[in-house]
Amino acid sequence: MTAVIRTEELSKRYRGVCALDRVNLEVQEGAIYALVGPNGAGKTTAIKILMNLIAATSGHAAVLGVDSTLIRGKSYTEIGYVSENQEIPGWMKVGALLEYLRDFYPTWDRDLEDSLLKQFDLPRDRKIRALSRGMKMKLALAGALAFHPKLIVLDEPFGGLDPLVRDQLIEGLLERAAESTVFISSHDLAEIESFASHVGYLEQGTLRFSEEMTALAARFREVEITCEGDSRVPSPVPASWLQLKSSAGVVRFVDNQFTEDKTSAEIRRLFGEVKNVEYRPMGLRAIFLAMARKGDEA
Amino acid sequence: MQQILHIFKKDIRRHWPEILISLALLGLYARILTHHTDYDPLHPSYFPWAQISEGTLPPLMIIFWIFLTIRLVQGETLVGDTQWWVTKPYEWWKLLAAKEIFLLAFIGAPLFLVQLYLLQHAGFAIHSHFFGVLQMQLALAVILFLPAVALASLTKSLGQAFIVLLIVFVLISTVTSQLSKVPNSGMSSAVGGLGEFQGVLTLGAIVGAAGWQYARRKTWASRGLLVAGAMLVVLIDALTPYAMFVNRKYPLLEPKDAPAEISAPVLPKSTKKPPDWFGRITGIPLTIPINVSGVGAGKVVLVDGIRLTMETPGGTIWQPGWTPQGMLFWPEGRQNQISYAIDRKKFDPIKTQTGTLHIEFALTEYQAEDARDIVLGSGKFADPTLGQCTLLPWSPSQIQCRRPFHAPGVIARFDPSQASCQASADDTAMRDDKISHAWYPPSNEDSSAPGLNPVETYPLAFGSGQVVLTPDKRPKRMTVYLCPGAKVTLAKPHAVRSGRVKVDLDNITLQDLVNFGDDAQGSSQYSLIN
Repeated sequence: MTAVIRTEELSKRYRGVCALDRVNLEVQEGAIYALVGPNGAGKTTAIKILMNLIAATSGHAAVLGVDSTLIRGKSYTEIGYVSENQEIPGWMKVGALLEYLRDFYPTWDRDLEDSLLKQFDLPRDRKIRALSRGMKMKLALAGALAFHPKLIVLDEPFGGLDPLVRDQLIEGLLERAAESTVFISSHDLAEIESFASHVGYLEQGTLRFSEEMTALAARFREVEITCEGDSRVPSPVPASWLQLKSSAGVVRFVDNQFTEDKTSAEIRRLFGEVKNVEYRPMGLRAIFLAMARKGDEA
Repeated sequence: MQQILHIFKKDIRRHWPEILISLALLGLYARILTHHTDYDPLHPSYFPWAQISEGTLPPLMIIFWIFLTIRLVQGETLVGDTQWWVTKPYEWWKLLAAKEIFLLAFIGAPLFLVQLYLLQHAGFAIHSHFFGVLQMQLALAVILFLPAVALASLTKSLGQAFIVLLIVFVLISTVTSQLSKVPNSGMSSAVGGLGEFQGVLTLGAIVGAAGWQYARRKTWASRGLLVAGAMLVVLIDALTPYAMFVNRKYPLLEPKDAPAEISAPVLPKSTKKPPDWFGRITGIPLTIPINVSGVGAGKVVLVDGIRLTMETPGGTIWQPGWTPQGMLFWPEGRQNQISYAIDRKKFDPIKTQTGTLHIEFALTEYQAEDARDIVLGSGKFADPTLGQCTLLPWSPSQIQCRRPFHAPGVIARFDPSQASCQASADDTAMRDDKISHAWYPPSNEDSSAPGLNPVETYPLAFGSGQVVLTPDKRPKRMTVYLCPGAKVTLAKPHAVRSGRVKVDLDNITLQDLVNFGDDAQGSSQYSLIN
């Protein structure tokens, strides 16, 4: 597998404030990679550096094998980029914009354009400035998909959209994802969880983890221990136990390095015999919250 | 090329209303100018708006073109990182080329055609002035459109661009005003190639900033480049040792070698009581009478600049540096006077100190070449040097001429004794019977300056227009009377040599030189403080 996106020690500082701190990231070909994290984590900054919209302070990034500082002009014939902040020319009509874009891309697929417009309910003769925010996002996505890009980069595409539009966007994206690599930043975790193959968690400019969704789901568990009598927590506990809470004979925590054998052995070592232990799988949202709270506590 | 045309077509779709407005303004401009060309002073006709439009239309057109250029360039805004187009496969030079082609197609080309039409309508052959018109277009592109493209590429919106434009105008006027205070800076023409070098530097900074911004979208770096270029130009202006260049261009000549003999008469001590207005003015008017003789036949001497130095036994008390002049000395020799204004703050402390006033003249001598006589025609008449000319009935001292691009370098001489022109019955005029001249300095015949109208209208004005007091104390303007049939000698001026001469005025105070306006100069030429 070849890396479509690779960053090495990528950093960005804004007047002394660290927006990205030595981020090492790799996105493999064919992956749907979700970069998640709270607001201000550095997701948009990372994407802007990858798209050569801003310069990194230090480190290196490559997109489709090209140094990101050289991404310009023809490079974009292989990259479909959509951002919630993009200023699409409002004076144009939907059809005129797509017609205009057509000539820029040798791989533009007219049939796909028609089918995307139909799928997204976009009227060709409507002025762009008259479109709702959701419609604009759909138009931007249609423009980014219609030329079969090798890489689709989406920066917070679902922000502020109603569920119906979100579903339409995701559906449209997934139908074409097989032929592309998708790199998407979002804090809409419920949506991401449904289709992302890989996930990276960015917090305060630092990439806390970056791995396959299945591996992530496997190593995070919500653990609930029911003790005999006193539920006092012994100290120290393993560093992988997050959000440790205890009350009325019940101890709860999140283990971010879960394997049943290892976690059970640690529980036995610290608590001795317990009445009951439950291991509950966690959704991406729960994992995200656990990580975010850990960050807040730190 | 395909992408260039693609962007170009998109811009036409967006800007067609502005294109129509620009073409309409241009059409109106052409109509008004041709009306003026057709205008017959003896049979005036009425054209609506003619009174207001000749002066107001060109600035309006230029402002509109700046507006259109900014809108056009900012259709693909280069400032910021949220623009839709920056992540599309635009190639920067194709985008820039598309914008340039648009400006060329909808402003440059129509203007070019209008300029050719104006030349043709004024009676000048298009083919012989084709390259001159192209040069005008190039100059307009350099002076107007390149800076407008740079401004638009370095600002995010139309509002921001106009605010920056306003700030730039304020800065330019402030800096220019400050630079004019740099000693000797008025003689920058003595520094060969300075203006050209500064022009190339400015152009380089503008092109570099716009090009860099298009190629890399490094907004702050591009802005920095532009500001650095401007600062360098200002620094060069401020730090150039002008006096050294003046001394080099105008070597000091012995009086016997000078192109003109200049002497200053002994002035009586001033006993006049200052009038009331004198206490309210800040610029004290000094008048220094001089006698000039010895200018060779067929020659004219131009005073490019003067330098005054007031020296007392205690040392130099006043030396304001070189200031540009434009006074001409003719072979016939007349009494002349140097007019000079000194700031009251400098004048008051030294006005009564007696000393020697050294007056240095930077002179250039011109030789009249290829002299020939022409006989003035009635109504409109044509001349290969002057162009197409008319004697205006209401202005008997001048010939009004039209010519492509600019006035020619010419020395004109008129001897009233060789003509029988009648003076008009004007009670405020007095006939000037002496030989009089008109002149324009040498110029490159084929060059053209930036502008919209390729047809230059210029006066060939004879006589000094000096006001004199008659014995009964009535002011009258000395007037040369030209008329059809009168003979005027035309020649081409050719710069022969430049040099510097010194004249001393001994035992004088600055107070003795003050012009209180009680002679023919009149006080009204000086502004009063309210």
